[in-house]
Parts: sequence; C-alpha cells; structure tokens
Amino acid sequence: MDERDTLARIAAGDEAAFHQFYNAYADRIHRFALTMLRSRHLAEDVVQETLLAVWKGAQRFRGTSKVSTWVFGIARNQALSLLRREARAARDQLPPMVEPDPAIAITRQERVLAALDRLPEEQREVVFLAFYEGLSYRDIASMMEIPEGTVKSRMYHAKRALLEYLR
Amino acid sequence: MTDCERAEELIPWYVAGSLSDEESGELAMHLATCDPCRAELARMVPLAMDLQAALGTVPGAPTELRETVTESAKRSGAPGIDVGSFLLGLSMGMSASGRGDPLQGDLRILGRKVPLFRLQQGGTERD
Repeated sequence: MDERDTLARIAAGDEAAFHQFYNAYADRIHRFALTMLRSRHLAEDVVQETLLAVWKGAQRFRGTSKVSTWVFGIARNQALSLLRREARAARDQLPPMVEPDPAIAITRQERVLAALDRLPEEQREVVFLAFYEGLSYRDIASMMEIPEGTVKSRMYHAKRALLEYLR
Repeated sequence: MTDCERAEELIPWYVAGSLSDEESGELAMHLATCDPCRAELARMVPLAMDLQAALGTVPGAPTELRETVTESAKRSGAPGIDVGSFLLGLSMGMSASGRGDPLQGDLRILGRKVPLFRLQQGGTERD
C-alpha cells in the first residue's frame, strides 16, 4: 500500500491505516527525536504528538513532498517546540544518548554515536535525515524552510567534524 | 566555487544516495579526473556506512507507546471537520470514509459522540 493511500485512509478515519502508519514511522520518529533531543522521555512525546498530528491532520498533506518529508517536518517542529518548553539548563543535564560503560570496550557504533552527539543539534538532524532517512538536501531545506546552501553547509561541517572525531 | 569545492559539498549526498541523476553525473565526471576528491569519497563511504549502522542502533519507540498513541487518537475523535459551538457543548463532526460510506456524521453533546447519520452510496441511512 502506497503511503499516500494510507494517509488518505487515515484522513477518512480508518484506524487500521493509522496502525499501519504507526508501524512504519514510530521507531523512525523515535530515533530521530532521540538523536535530536537526547532524552527518551521527550522522544516519546515527539512520537506521540507527531502521530496524533498525522491522525488529526492527514487531510492537510498536499502531496507536494514525500510523505516522510512531511512527517519528519512535523516531528521536527514538535521536537523544537519541546526544546523551547524545556529549560536549556535542564536539557544540558540530560545524559548523552549513549553512555558507554567504562568497563566494557567501546564499540565502533558507540564511538560513532558519541561523535554524533558532539555535533551541534542543527548538524545532527541533517546527518540523521540524510544518512538514516535518505532525504535529499532539497527535501531537508524544504522541510526546515532554510536555503539549500545552508543544509549543504551544515552537512559539510558535520562531515569534517565527524571525520576528525573518528580519526 | 571551484569544481573541487562543489564536489566536496556534493559527496556526502552522493554517498547517501539522494543526489539527482544530473548532479550524480556531474560529480562522477569530476571524480574521474580528480585524485583528491576520489580520496574524499573514499573517506566518506565508510563514514556513511558507520552512521547508518550506528543510527540504526538508536532505540525505537517503546512497545507500550503504541497503546498510548492509539488511545489518544481514539479520544481525539475521528479526523474531519468539526463545526458547532463549544460554548454550548455541541458540535457536529463530518468526515469522509473510504469504506463505501462517502459521508458520515455525528453529533457531540458535551463530548459524547452520538451517531447522527450515515450517507451511503445510493442513499442516506439515519441512525
């Protein structure tokens, strides 16, 4: 079933279609939100609010972008809204996304996540959307309502930093 | 911007597989004649693979969240256009259904949903 058809069914109140959509997106939105916010509690809120927004607003999808671009745009707005709501000081006290046990040898994946964690938030989200979701710089620029050059610049700096951290 | 600067800018997107065919072709032509940019590509490929693998290990949504979201969706009512007066506690919701019922409606009285009518193909059914 095409994702656009699924959205059309959700707009018509089809709960089975909503379950299907949940299965397709909940984990991905959670990973995105956790990568951005570094808080499981906030990431769950983003999943919930994003999917409820899809349930209530599926009819607002105009079909001018990929469904995933639309959904991650909603998720990003929800995440930014939560970020604004949370005191920055409190957020900075949250543990990093991956806390390696010093007694256990750190894996390559943990090193990569730790390096990702050192990037500024606006670079982390571009890296996630490009490499995990496969969105183009045009998609990301459209979603974030910023110039394409800004997206490419964020990727450029993220890549440089990651190569340096993982050297 | 030099060809190499533009190539370096495009290489991450090339490796991620999201460049347009035109941009991919343009980059491939440059890479064919530029050793430093080929070296940059060689650095970027394992980084991209590492990132994809690592991001895949970030936890997905917890199992119990499914029920929470589903219940919240049910409580929020069917998607559609609500009209009416919240002050009076009355509203009428109308939504299209994709399962043979092109139109259905309900009346909400102080938050309780009361089925009102269901317009089926070929006629109107009143509850």
